[in-house]
Amino acid sequence: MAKKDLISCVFFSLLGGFVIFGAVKHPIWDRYGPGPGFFPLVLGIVFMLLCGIHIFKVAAEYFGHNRELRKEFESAAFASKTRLALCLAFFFCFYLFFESLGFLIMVTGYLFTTLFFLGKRSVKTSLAVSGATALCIYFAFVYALRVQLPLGILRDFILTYSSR
Amino acid sequence: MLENIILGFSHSLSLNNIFYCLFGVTIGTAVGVLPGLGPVSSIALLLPFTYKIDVLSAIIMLAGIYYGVQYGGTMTSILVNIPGEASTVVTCIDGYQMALKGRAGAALGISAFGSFIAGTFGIVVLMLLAPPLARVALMMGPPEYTALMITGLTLVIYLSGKSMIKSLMMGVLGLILGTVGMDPMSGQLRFTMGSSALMDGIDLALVAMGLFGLAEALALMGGVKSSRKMVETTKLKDILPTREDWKRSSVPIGRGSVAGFLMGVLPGGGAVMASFISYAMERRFSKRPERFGQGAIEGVAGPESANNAAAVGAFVPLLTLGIPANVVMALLIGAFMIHGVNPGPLLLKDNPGLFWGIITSMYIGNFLLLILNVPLIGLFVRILKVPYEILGPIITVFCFLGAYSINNNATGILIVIVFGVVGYLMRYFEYDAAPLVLAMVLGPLMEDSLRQSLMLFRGDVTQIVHRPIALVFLGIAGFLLVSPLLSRLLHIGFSNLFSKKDQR
Repeated sequence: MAKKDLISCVFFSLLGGFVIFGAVKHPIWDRYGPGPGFFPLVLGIVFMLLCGIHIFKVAAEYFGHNRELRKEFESAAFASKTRLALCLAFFFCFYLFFESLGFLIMVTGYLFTTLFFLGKRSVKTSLAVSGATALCIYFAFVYALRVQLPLGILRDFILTYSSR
Repeated sequence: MLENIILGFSHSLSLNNIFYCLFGVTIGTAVGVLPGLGPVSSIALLLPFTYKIDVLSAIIMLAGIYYGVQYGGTMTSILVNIPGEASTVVTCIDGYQMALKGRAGAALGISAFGSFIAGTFGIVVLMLLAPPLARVALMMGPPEYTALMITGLTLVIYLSGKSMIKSLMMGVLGLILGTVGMDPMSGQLRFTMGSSALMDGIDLALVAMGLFGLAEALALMGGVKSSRKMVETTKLKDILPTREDWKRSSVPIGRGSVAGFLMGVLPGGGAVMASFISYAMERRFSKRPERFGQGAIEGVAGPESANNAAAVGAFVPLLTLGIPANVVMALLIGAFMIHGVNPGPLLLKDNPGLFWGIITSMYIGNFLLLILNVPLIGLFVRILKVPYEILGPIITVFCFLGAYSINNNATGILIVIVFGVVGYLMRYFEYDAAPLVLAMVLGPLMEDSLRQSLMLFRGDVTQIVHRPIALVFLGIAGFLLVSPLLSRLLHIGFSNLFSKKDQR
């Protein structure tokens, strides 16, 4: 059986179990009709059934007549694990420090690091692109679209500058 | 009818709305040119910003993005053989061959004019079809709506992915995600895990941004896709098609317009299916089918008209039944709801200015697109020169900003990251995200109508099939679900029959 189909089905089966477990905590049926747990319970059961059918289908194809299936499925390209880990680390840093550091510093820093480390651009290019992009987005969002963005540690500086 | 059109134009022709229409079609065209970025992610990105503007301007802008993308996606398909949009994949086949033969201008020209004609045709039919459909919709009760939702979802699942079982799983997962938050009938919290941010449910815009926008950026930055693409620009002389081109393209444009509109109206049909069906149709009806794939202008004119007509057709179920025909329409429902407006049969009655304003704005949008596209083709192509290494991080910044601005809270960014990773994994595991997003929208509506029906029938679910309209809808859904199995059985039956004959 294709490894990734098995992994996804096991994960989804667990998810289905979690949904059923969560649904039965709520009333399924009361004297007026279906309760808040009814719909999620039905969905959880259907979801687990579908996972079972999918596992059965892939197993039947593999053990039946098409053993080449394994090669075909497992040859799918996956991203470089290091690059992917770096991307995710950058994303979480963005989430963690966006409000405290503020938009301008965080976006410039984020774009600079991604361009420099992942895009392999020079320091000058990375700095120019990230700084210019951050400023353009800031002015477009704050002044044209009237969207408030966190000012962070530059709050006093920006407020003093903009009041002038 | 004339009064309605005048009423619509009186709303849509205001300077404010023309500006938003122009903004939408420009963004849409630019997004369509960028490979990977589609209308879903761009509408999802701009959805939070519609809080600040009135509902008509918001819908005009978002609709402009939608049909602008169909135009924009064509350029990259023809010039560099990279489909900017899924609906323009089929345009690559003959469009790029035309470009190699030095006929890029004619291909782009016929697609722009064909799209304009098909779009206008779609709007006229929409105007004629929408009011009677809205009246029919008013006759439907909770059981009929339950059946309709099931049919809509089944159609999307049937037409979306390669594997029906995987699409079904994604559809059910979307329905499950739709149950997160406060139960509308009892007020009980479900699957919130104690988080106050999830009390109102998971925001559709965050899910869409994560699954489509951030997952795409993750794929670009993570290195699944080629990090550098060679972009060559083609000289764009002779934009206007010749008389011979028009002669060969006029019937395909007409056929593509009709087929595209019909496919757009069907939930799950959409522009992608429309363009493929139109290409297949043109090839079948052609006297010289061998020219297809070698640069036949009919292979560009038909599909390009079809995808634009489908984009307009998708508004029919949205405006008359309140049901999204595809993911983009689901996001537009979100935009309506942000402003406290419920799209559906009552929209025409309660908000005629809004209803006709949206429809008439499409004329303006199509006209603006024609003006934008023909002279600015060369300029848009230059966006392709931005390397993915730069494009990817900028896309993520837009995703994060959009997520933050929904509630002015960083939790939105976290949700987008989580769904971005989920979307990325879904690509790896070959699951289609479209049924999930669509089901997430339909989920709460389906749950409400199902529970109301069960209350109405005192728990007897079989009563639903005693209603004729509901029975028809459920019959269609049932047929679609078993049709792959039936076709496989028939195929096996026929092949066995022929093999026995051969043995004899």
